[in-house]
Amino acid sequence: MSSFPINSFKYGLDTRRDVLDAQAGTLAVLENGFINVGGEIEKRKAFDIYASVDMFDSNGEVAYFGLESTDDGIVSFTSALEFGASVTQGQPTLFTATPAGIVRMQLVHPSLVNDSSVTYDNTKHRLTGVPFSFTYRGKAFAAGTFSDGRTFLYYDGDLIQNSANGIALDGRLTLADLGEDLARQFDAIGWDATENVDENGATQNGSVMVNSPQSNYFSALNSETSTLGYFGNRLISQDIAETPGVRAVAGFQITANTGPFVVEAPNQASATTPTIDLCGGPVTALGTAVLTATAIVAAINDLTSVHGYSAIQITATANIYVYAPLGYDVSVPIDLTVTGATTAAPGVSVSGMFAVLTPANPSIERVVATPGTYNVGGNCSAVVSGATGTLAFAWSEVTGGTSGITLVNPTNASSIAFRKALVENTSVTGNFQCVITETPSGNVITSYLTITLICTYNSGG
Amino acid sequence: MATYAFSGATAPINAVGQKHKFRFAGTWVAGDTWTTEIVSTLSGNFTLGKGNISNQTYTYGIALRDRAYLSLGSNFALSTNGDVTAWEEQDAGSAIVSYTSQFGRQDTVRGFATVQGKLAVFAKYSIQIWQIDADPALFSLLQILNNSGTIASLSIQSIGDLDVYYLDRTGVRSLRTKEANLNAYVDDVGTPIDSLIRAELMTIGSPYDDNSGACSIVESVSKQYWLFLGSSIFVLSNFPASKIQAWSKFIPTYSAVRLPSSANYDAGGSVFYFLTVGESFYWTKGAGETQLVSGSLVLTESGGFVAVNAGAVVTGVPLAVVTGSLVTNVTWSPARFISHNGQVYALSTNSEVFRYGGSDNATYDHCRLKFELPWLDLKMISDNKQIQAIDAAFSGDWLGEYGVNPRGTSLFKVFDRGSATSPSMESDSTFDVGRFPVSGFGTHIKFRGTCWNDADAKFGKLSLVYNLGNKK
Repeated sequence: MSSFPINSFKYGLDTRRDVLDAQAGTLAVLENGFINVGGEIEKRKAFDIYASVDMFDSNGEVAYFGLESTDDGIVSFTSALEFGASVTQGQPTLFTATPAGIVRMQLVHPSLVNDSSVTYDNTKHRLTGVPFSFTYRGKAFAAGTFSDGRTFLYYDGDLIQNSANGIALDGRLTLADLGEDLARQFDAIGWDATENVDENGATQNGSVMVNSPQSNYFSALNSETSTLGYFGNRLISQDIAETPGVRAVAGFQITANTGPFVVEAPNQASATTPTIDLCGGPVTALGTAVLTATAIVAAINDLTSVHGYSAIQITATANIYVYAPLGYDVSVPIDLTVTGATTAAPGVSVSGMFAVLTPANPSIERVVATPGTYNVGGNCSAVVSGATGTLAFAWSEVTGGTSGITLVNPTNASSIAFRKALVENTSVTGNFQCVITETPSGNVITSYLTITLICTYNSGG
Repeated sequence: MATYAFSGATAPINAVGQKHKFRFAGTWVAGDTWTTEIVSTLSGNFTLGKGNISNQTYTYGIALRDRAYLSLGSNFALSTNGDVTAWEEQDAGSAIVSYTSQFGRQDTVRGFATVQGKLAVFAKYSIQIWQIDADPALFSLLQILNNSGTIASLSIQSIGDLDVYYLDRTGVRSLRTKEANLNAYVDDVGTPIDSLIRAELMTIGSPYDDNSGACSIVESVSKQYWLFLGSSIFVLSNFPASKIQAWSKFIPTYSAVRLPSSANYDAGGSVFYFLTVGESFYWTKGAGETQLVSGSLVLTESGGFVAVNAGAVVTGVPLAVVTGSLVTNVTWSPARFISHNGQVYALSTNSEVFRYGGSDNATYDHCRLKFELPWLDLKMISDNKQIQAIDAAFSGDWLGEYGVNPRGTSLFKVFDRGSATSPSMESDSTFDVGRFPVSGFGTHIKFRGTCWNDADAKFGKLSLVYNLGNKK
């Protein structure tokens, strides 16, 4: 008696030879099993229903297409809003909620993406298939085919504009629509474009005025595949000079020196809230209102690098002027909010110019070894920002001042020297101003400083 | 608290290099396209409007080496490096590459894969191997493999960087590299099942039909290549170290309970089940039940069957609540596979999402596992054999059948044993439980094994015991 062993099924299913002449160890049939690493026949696992996306939208259309694995879970794609969602642009909602375990990803037709006034049209904007998808960096990249027959690309649910640019789509065929599309694409690359106005600013549908960045010159070659549509371009002008902006200013005056004082302003140009504390916290009242005002201004300027606001004080007064960052208060009116006893400051400068004196309040000490009379002096400079014209500087002691400190050098300069002869162990303080005038605008700002000169006798003993 | 209004602000107006007017005019209809190509002194060249990928038909896309690739007919497109949303000339690294076909008519790109760090571009009639770089100008065509390509974009699967499986119009093939010179070549890994593949393609349509509906996946745990085509999932188990390269087939089904005609047996103790002819069913005998009858099929114990009649009657305790159950294996067709968290999921053609292995990735059902050996001559073609006994090593509840008459259709039961709930090769196999005699005389013998367990079942060895008879 003999035996014929078959010790392994490692050859698996093999139909190269017919059933009567096949090699021993091969299989003519193997269903619902596989050959495992040991050469055994092993049963396959079960398939169970994880979820059903056999769903409809509120128009009765098939809702879901495709499947993809992402970091957010298993994603399926639809053009419908979620069940119960607020409807925008007339889009349908799902007839029932998306099943657990499935993440809904909406693919929106470019017409709806690029024009919020377009209303959903079932014959054009409904997703009808997802030819392919894959995962990139954990997010789904998908091609979506719509009922208008076109296919567009999406990444993480956002339209890839490159796949839709330059196509005249149903519902967006007017000249104004085409102008909007072109302007959007110029804006996307950082160039300034205004749609549907001509070179004189008058309304002209289909016209797009484009401004390239400074010193960036270009030529444009247009083409189109339209029988009755035209697409042209021409140069209007070159090298248009910059128009500087002007910073908004608000001023207040301390009327009663009882703190603490809190100064707040909006933290962005586009909205009035949230606000930010410009001083970084409440400012305690000091001995006098003037001193308190000095402390407030210093606190604001210490944090200019954080919030962009800056401030000046009229020396010897409690008047404070706060300048907003460039671009604020242009499209959205903003206010300065002050906690503490204050009132509006007089004469708010509206020029947007701002001067910083360095040093702000110079205190110069000369130490001498023998008694006598000595000249004590120093320098001060004015650095001006926000000015575009020619500047004139006028340094002088404030009205009524009797310090005797002399200003040396021509007074019409951004830098000035000052001095006075002092006897040992004496000092003098004077209040001065620098009036800066800009031509041809005529804008004028005044910056104040306090100069202190000290002569100290030190015998060395 | 007091508020003080800011005032006096004006927005800055930047300096402008050039003020230019673009103008749309006339009448535009849906599908018209427009493009403007800009040449600028500081920004370089760029395109707005219809560019590289707009208004195109995309058949396939993939992410490779931190950029995306798209098939665009007889071209393919690359995105910029690190950004799959940027595809135009102004986006560094993006490009359109022409797939110039040098075999037959102009080909169309179907898919992509990487092989040994190079890009393999699959078309219908040929494959091109490209050396790729972050700079598209440094792309170079290294190799063209003619007369092999893919008709199914979703059939392309890579395993590591050395092996790419795909469905050619003649069968499943593999793109591999030679160790000697790293040149790519086409390996005929799928020839064992070529006849089955071609038969499925013929039922779908022309062998050159693009709408094969094929889709594939590499199963995460076993690294098996699965290809769905027609009505079957063809599975390749490839374990090079064990010298195993074996094909098999899954029939995609899921278990669904078939409810009886009533919740209680009738006064005669019977309850009726409607069956779908051709579908497979598994009957779990309940307490008090005696048998299931469907035409000539009679089951007295739990078991599976393929319905040849449209109904079945189960006998139980009159007027009692039905205690047994009947499940059917409902077929479904995958349209797309994905792998998520180490498990295979599939979207079916009727929008169900199926999961392989259940929630614990170790779930089995009552689908029928069946294998058949070819007619074996035991290496003595014309010698008659007197078959004496059959022994087998297996785990699970197996029905073993044999036949000695190739011209006949019937096979005869050898054994029907094993545990359906706690499979164990030691206790289920035949070696230690005596002889399983068979009777038959002929030149060839066939064996068939069938298992309906909803548990992991295996069949490892088979031994045919025989006496050699006279030569013919």
